[in-house]
Amino acid sequence: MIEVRNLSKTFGSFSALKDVSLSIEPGELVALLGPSGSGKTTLLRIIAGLECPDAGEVAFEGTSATNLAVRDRQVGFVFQHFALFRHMTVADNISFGLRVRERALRPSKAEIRERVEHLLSMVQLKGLESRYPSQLSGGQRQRVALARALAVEPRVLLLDEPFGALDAQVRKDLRRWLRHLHDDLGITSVFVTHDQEEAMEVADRVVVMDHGRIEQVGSPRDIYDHPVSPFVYRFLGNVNGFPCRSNGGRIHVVGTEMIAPDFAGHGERDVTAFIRPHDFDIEAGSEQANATLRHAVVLGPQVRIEVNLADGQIVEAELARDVFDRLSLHPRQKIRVVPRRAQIFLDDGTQARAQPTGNGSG
Amino acid sequence: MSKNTSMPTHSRRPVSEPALIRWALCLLTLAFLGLFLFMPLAAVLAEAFRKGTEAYFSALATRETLAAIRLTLLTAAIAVPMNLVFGITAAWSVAKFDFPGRSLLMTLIDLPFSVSPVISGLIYVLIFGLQGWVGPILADHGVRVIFAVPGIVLATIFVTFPFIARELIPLMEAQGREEEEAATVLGASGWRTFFMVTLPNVKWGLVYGVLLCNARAMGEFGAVSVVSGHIRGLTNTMPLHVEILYNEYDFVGAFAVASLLALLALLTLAVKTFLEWVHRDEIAAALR
Repeated sequence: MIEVRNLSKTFGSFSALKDVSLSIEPGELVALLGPSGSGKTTLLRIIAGLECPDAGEVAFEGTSATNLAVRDRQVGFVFQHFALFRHMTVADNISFGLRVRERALRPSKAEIRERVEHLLSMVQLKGLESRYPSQLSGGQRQRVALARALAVEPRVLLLDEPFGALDAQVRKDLRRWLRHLHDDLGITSVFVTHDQEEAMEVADRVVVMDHGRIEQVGSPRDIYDHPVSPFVYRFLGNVNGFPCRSNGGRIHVVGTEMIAPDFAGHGERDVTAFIRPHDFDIEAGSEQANATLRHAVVLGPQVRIEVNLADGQIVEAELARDVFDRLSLHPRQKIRVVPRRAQIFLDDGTQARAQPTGNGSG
Repeated sequence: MSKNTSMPTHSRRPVSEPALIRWALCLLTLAFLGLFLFMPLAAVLAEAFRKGTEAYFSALATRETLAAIRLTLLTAAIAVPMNLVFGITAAWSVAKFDFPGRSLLMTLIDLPFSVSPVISGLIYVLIFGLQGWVGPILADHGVRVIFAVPGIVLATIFVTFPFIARELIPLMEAQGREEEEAATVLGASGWRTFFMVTLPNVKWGLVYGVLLCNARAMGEFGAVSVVSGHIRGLTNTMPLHVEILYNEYDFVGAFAVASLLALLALLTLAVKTFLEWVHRDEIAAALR
């Protein structure tokens, strides 16, 4: 169990972390998700002991790690650019953490060899033990880095953008594989990513960060379905934002009247309505056309289209391939776009769900 | 000084100049090298052997010449290891740590390059000379620095200080701190990290630095000339000895010693090229 209490850190005039608290349960796989500069890597490095916080502390299993040197924290750290020892073979890289132990704690040569063998087969790199890092592909290097971190049997595994430097396909394979590995080993793990899809797919719990603060913590589903702020809403996938006015919870957006019952008691307010691309219905041949199709991109079973509203705003929508084919849409065609649901945020962050009232107006 | 940046690729270049320009550039380079490098070298050897090999070797075998060779070797044997330690320490602290005054330290490391060697020598005279700051105190304890071997060694250390540090700093900076961080997280102590990770990663830069430092230590003239006092057989290094012999119209002797110094430079280059060739795969791997 890792407890992070009121951490703050500044680099010069840049405030990387502002009073961040977080607790990580044993055996959890947690993603720190945020844009660059959000403080996620700084948080990870402070947990590892590679940075010192200006204020606050980190505790492992209830004991403060403030006075614990990096090398005594028993953490495994996987770097974005692997940081393999370039002059050592794969086997020497993996066994490094065991070989540098003081004599009393150091396993025998035979034990080390056995451990390396085991780890190599775990990361599916058997037979490559005498290669040098420069002779490996990116995915292989990252797996060596992982094996090296696991060799010392750390209490917690920390991964800094572990797949950031890899090709899209390798990245997908490797993150699925990491998830399985975590399920097998059950080691408490924290990884940093800026890719929401990666966080959603791999993590048990996602910590969304922005500007040195934690915006939201929750399961991937939780966060996607109930984002607490416009930032989280925008960050977790494509979204269209419409600034508009709400009167008693009624808004008028994309030519449709919608109502948010939670705001029924409110007066006239400025709000932002967010609509996800897949929450639109598209109709062709309607007399109430309100948009023009700009272009369409086929992404396998999905089609992503961009439309121009009458007022010039550009809206991104997604529809199933078969629907797209049935409508036989083509660029510059007049179509009707109707939102199915919207999430409305007030300036102060309170939010409510809105549905069409049913008496749509052109 | 970064001869380890460009590796031959042996690939056909997509962009190429016309043959005429290529030949012209090659010829120009060769002509320049011939005029400023090969011709003087040939002149040195020709002068040295003008009166035959016997005269050459007997000129080298004089007591004073042998003493100069001994002193030069001794100076290099002290200065190079000292600068090895200083250079690694300075490069490590500059490249791997952030601290206030870091850029000032970088500038200071370059100082011996930018200051005229004569001035470096004069500084030592000012400090350690009999009328200097520390000189009288040392003299009371029977220690002579100026016009003695310690002064020569000090001046040489000062002048050759930047070679190793300068070679290592860009290399260490390019390699970053991640490997050291990885080693530390894995439980390695500072010493172990240094000897198992940092040092092996920079060993080629270190070898070049040592070779260059050694060449300069043996060849240094200006600073050493100021502090040495030119006492024959006692405080004369090879470069100083060359000048003395030359001024006495002993051309065979002067050029014989000069040829030894030139030989040393060639040897340094040969060793460096040989090492690069033997370890070319490893160097290429380290750069990737």
